[in-house]
Amino acid sequence: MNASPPTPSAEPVPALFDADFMRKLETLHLLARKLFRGQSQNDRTTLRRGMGLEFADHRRYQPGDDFRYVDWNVYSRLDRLFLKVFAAEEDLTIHLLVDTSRSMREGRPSKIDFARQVAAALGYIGLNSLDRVGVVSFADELGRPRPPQRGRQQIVSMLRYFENLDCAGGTNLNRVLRTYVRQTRKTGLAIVISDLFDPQGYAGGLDALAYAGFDALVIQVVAESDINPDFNGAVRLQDVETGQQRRLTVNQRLLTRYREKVAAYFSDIETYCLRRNIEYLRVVTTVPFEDVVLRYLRRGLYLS
Amino acid sequence: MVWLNPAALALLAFVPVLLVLHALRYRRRDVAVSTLFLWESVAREAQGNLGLRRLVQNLPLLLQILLVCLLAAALAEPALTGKAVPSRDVVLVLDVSASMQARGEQGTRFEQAIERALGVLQELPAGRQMAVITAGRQPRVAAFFDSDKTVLRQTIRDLQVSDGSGNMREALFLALSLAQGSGSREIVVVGDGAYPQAVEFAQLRQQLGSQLRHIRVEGGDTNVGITRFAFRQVPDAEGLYEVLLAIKNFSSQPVTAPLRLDIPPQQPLQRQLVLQPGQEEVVVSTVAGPLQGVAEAELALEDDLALDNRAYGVAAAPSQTWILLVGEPNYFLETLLTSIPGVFVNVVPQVSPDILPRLLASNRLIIFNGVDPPPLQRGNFLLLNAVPPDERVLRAGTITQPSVVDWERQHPLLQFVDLADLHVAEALHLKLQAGARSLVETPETTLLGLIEEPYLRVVFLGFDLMQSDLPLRVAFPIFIGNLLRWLAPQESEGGGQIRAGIPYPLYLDGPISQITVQDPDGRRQQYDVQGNPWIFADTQRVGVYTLRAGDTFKRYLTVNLLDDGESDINPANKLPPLTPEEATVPLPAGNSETPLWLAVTLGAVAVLTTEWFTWCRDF
Repeated sequence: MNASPPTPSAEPVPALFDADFMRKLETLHLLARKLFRGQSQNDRTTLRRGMGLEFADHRRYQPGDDFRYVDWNVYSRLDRLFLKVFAAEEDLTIHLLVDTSRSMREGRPSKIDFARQVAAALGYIGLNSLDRVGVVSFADELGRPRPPQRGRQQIVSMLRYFENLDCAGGTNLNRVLRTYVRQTRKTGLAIVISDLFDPQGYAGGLDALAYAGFDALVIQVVAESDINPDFNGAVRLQDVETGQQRRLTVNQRLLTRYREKVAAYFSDIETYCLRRNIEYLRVVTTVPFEDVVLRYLRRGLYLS
Repeated sequence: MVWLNPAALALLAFVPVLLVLHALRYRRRDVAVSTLFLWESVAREAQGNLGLRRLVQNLPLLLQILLVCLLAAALAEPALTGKAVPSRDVVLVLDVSASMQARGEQGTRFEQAIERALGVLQELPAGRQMAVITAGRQPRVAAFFDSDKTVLRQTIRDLQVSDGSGNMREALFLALSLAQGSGSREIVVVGDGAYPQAVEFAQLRQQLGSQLRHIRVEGGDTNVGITRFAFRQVPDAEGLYEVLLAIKNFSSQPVTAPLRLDIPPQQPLQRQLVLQPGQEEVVVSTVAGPLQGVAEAELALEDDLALDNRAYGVAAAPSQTWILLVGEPNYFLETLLTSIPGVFVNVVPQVSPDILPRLLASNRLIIFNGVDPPPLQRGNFLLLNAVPPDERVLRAGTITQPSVVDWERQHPLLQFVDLADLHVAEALHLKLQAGARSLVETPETTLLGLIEEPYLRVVFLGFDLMQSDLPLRVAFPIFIGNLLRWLAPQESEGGGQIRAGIPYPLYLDGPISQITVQDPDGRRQQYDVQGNPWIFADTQRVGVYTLRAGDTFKRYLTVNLLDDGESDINPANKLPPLTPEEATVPLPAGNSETPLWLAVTLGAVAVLTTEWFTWCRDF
């Protein structure tokens, strides 16, 4: 299906997403179409069993089941009632969860800008693919959600939503993801864009997503300064979220130890996601966001 | 510890300045980070060596503070005070007199003294110095202040006891001069306490207090010794001599002493003496000549000091002294000269210069009375009312009735000569030039003068004896006696007998460049003769010395102890031994100050080097 980006003449595009950005989104959309040519929309099978067209399995008849799905051939041979179960064919709902904690403001470019761009690109592609795209920001609490909606006409409002995001507060991934799971009736692809710098951990929240039937994608956005701090000597470190301070004299040995610690932390996340069948991408804000989106699209996991 | 310059401690005010500078230098930079828990984790892991890390981080500051402190301390001149081990340099005075040869059950006193001296050296703390003085007849510095114990030990071991008297008083004064009144030097005297100046020594020890320590060695208390041994010709009895011997018992018990006297070529004389404690027996024996050689007196007994059991003397007939009087005979002078034993006088009206050398060979003295002599090169001359043909003495007429205003009373010629109110009718007006010496002065002229060269002695009297009352005065024979001894000193050498340790002046008649001396042990040594008289000083050993020069010159020199003080090895007024309290008297309590500034400065340099190193290594 062809999709065209919204033009400024039709509805003004938020200033954050300028014309250059919009051209990149269009390019990404074309590239996405090229990568998944021949696959029509709404042609995705989900793991949910339903009443679609593609046979999936049999199950015993339960009182109240629709007799139309009884497999009479089987009944004639076995004299038992079995229902034919088909894989449900439904629209994909993409849940974009963007971390807007205070730490996302860090980096150059800032992590929040990068997250917005990635989220906007994925949402743009999703809306252009007639998927439902819902957006919500979070910090230590869940932000005002934008319920999943379909249609290209939602693009501008989605971009405006991203533009109005403001970074404040701390991070509590576990709580907000659990809350989101409780509040969301329709599951789908949950794309969590965050730096995952949460002292309380991330496992509980991501587990909740997985247990609730979400297909989760974690995009960890980190700044270069998070990986390779560019300071040494006597410093007073301040956590931008909690305001907590720590006096430290940083030397090369300590920096090396920090890098090892960060690498181990990232490795733990990656291992965790691999075990939970959660897609995990770690990106540095210095990498162009379109590269990230394309790298993700080439995997063909969710957009295909 | 004390600070000799505490004002320098004000430099410590730089320490706060350093702290401020360091605090400014290490002002912490605020850095915002996305999260702190990773840093906390890193910091926790590094917590284990946080103390060491902080120390290393602050090492430059600590070193700088330490450097300032050390510099301030060095400038403040710290000194370590303590009473822990008070020690002093030691001036060791070792008695080497003859009495130290007294032998006891533990060896001779000198051997004990050596061991005690080595003990003092052993106790000398490291870094302290010791000087060694021997208290012989003349005190001698055997070793000046030295801290090398090996050298000092060898020096002490090499010391020899002498056969002569000791002079502890002079040795103590020498030691005091070395100690220079410093409280950091102690005088340690090691001796037998038998000092002639024992009372004076005791007073000195009382004055010096703990600065003078006396270590007394003992051994031997029985001694009989020869204290005098002399020959003389019996007056008016030609060829007859008297020998005088004095033997004294210094023991506390009666002693029988066999005496033997050998006077070649006479038969040995033997006597058996019984001496009570403290008794001195004088033996006088008459011996008929001729005598030739060395006489030896011996006490054939064994006592604790063998040195004084023998005495030696030159047993030779006195030589005849011929005096030639040229010019007018003089009754007073001739009578006086011929009255002296062994002196013979010849009178001639005049002599020619040609025969003067031959006359000098046969006459000890030539007197020119009223006759001007020929030019004089060598020899002994007395000029009466005559002037030598010498540019050093000029005649300027005559003076009538000169009055003596002064004379040199200390000169050998004028000792005990009283010339007050000397009346002279007429005298030569003499003007002395450089090289001639005036002995008797009048306002106008010199009445008595002399010219002295190594082999020429000319005494000139500027008036005629008959024109004065000098021959009638007591001063006349005294003056002539002084004159003969001065002009012919070899006649008054004591017959070639001296005490051990006393230098012996040998008067020579003619030029002699070298003399060979054979000592009592038979060793021969050659000496260069520097002047007349030649002084022979190596007379430390008792015995007979033979002095030779060429084939003709031969003299005997006998050296004896002959000293009551040394023979009395257990005198009544011996210095009492130190009581144990005295022997262990502690050194006066005083704070010794050991300067530490050098060590502190070296420490500061080390700290500075370390600080520089840490700065280079960017700790």
